[in-house]
Amino acid sequence: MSEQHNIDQIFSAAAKGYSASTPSGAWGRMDAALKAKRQKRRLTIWFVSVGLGILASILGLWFYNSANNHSTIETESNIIESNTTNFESKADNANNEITQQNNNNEQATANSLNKEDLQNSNNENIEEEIAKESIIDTQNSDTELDNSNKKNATKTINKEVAVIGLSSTNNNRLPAKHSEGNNADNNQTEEIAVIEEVNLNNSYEVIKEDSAENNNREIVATDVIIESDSISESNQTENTVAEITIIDTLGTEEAINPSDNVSETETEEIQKLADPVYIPNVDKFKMGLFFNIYAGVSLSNGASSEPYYTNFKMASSPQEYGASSPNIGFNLGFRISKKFSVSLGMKRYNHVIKGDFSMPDKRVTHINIDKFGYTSLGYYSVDNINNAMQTKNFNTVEYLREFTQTKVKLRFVEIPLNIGYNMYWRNWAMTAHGGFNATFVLSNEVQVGDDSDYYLYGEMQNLRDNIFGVSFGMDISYYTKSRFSFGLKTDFIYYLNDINTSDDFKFHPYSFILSPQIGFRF
Amino acid sequence: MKSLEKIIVGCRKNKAWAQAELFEMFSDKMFGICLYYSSNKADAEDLLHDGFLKVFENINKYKSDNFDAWMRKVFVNIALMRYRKGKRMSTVEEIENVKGISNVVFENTQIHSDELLAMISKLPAQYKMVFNLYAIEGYKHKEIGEMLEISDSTSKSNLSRARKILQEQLNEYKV
Repeated sequence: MSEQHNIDQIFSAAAKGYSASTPSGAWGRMDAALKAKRQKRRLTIWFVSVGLGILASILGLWFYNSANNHSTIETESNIIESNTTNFESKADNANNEITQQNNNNEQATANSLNKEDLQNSNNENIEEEIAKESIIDTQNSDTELDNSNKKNATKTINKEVAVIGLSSTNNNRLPAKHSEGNNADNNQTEEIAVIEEVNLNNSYEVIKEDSAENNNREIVATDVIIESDSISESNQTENTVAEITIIDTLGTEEAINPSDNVSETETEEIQKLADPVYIPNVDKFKMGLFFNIYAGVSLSNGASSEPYYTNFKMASSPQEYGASSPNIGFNLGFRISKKFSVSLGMKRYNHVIKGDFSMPDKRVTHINIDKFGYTSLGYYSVDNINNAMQTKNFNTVEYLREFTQTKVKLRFVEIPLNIGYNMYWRNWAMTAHGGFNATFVLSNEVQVGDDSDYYLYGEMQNLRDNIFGVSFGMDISYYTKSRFSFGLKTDFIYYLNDINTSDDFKFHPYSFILSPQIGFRF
Repeated sequence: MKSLEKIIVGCRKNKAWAQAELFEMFSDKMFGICLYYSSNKADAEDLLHDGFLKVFENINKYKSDNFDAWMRKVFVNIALMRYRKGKRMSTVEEIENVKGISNVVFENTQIHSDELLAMISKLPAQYKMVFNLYAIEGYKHKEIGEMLEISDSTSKSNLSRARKILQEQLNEYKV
């Protein structure tokens, strides 16, 4: 026992005080590794900073727009309220005129809102009496209104959807005040005018006020949609007249800006509102910037064939397989028209190729450190085998024969320039895109090991610094009511250059990339 | 040369000068440890590399007073990790071309520490690990069993056999 204890003591004392001179080059190797780590750290910090900066910009823009919308809404509410009063009084006046004319058994003449249609309506039945209701509901509009800027105010109204309905006297939706006033003057006549703006965040909707007797509707105003289901039902004569009444409410607008006329573009806008598959959120950004950020998985190809020159007597990768790796990137684009867009971006991803490792069957007498082996991408060196080879009595070849696989990892930064063709269906957009990519090889690494781990490290030789490729793909996005969209991005990239400068290797990488993406429209 | 405290502070800030100074200060001693836990010089050099990288990465976690002991522990842990990883590769090599700086002659044995190291290096890998962890680092069999993923009894048995081999070698020197 004491002898055992003595042995422990001898070796313990020897080991604890033992030191040996560090091999030359140890610090050089360490320094290189530390520098690489620092560079990686700097790149990470740079990417994170850029990412945060972009995120902050997006959020800033979003909050700025939200704040603007909020103040605009308040301003608009005031303006629209005052306009409502004007409109109501106009409608009352018009109605009074009609009633007076009806009572006089004269052909109805056009009122200040729409003379012709009301004439038609009144021609059917002179005894008909019209009840009138005006409900004006204004909720929102997204254009900034400035009391001092009447043009802006007019544009706001242009985006409203108004429904004016002429209904029977039995309509219970009459505002008490309004209906009482009319009933007092004319028990048989009511005119209901409904103006309803349903636009919240640029979303439009047409409210229908159809009666049982009449489903006819017509979009009638250039900047205000007026639906009039006019049913004049006479309680006394049972003579029902239903008619589409077109009411020109330009007078309402003129109350705000009498001099401002409706342009063709605005007319077109209004017409689009009637399109059931029309997406104002998308179409509004006919021209404008958009930004997409995405992160996903890229799948790369392995070797398609043996190297051109196969008379190598070195370690090889006879069978290669593609592998997946994460990718992250962004695109900043410009929508040229509703259908077309261009974008420029940056993408960071790895091209990973795994392969079987094979030592030559013949007797290996020496190993070239700089051209230790080859894959379809080219020759590769190994760094740490050098130390093993210096060791006495160490059978390097036997050591190497235990390895089974290689992994080549190329780190790319890519600048994609794409043209997109956009197709829309309701809130969905599908973008087919294609373009060119300039790809820069940041670094490359080769690893050699067995099934459980990699032990040897090196790098590919004679790789190009940059290669060019073509890409095409399809994105599917869901457009929310806000400026954000969410979707899935696919890309197929095929590189036009050989990645290796050596004539012995003719490897064209290609990648398939699948990434969820978030978009923002400015 | 700057004080150890300043160097550690510099390393925590990822300063290249501090890392160089720390390496200069401790590399010989740590290489000695690496040789004890490696089967050959190349492995020892790799262990030295990995060990220092680990030290630089984790230097923020260092809180105790004895930096030397903390570093030693980091290196031993790396050696254990590598041992577990490379269990299947039993390449045996005698470390006999290494010249120690602190080549002390032990009074009662008349053996240089380099020769003691060479004796340990000749031990089978698992015996060597068990012996180092028990006799030099002072771990218990239960702890060694967990570290090397073996049972307590295997650890005891390995230690016993390692001692026996070493004793035989020592006896040869005495003769």
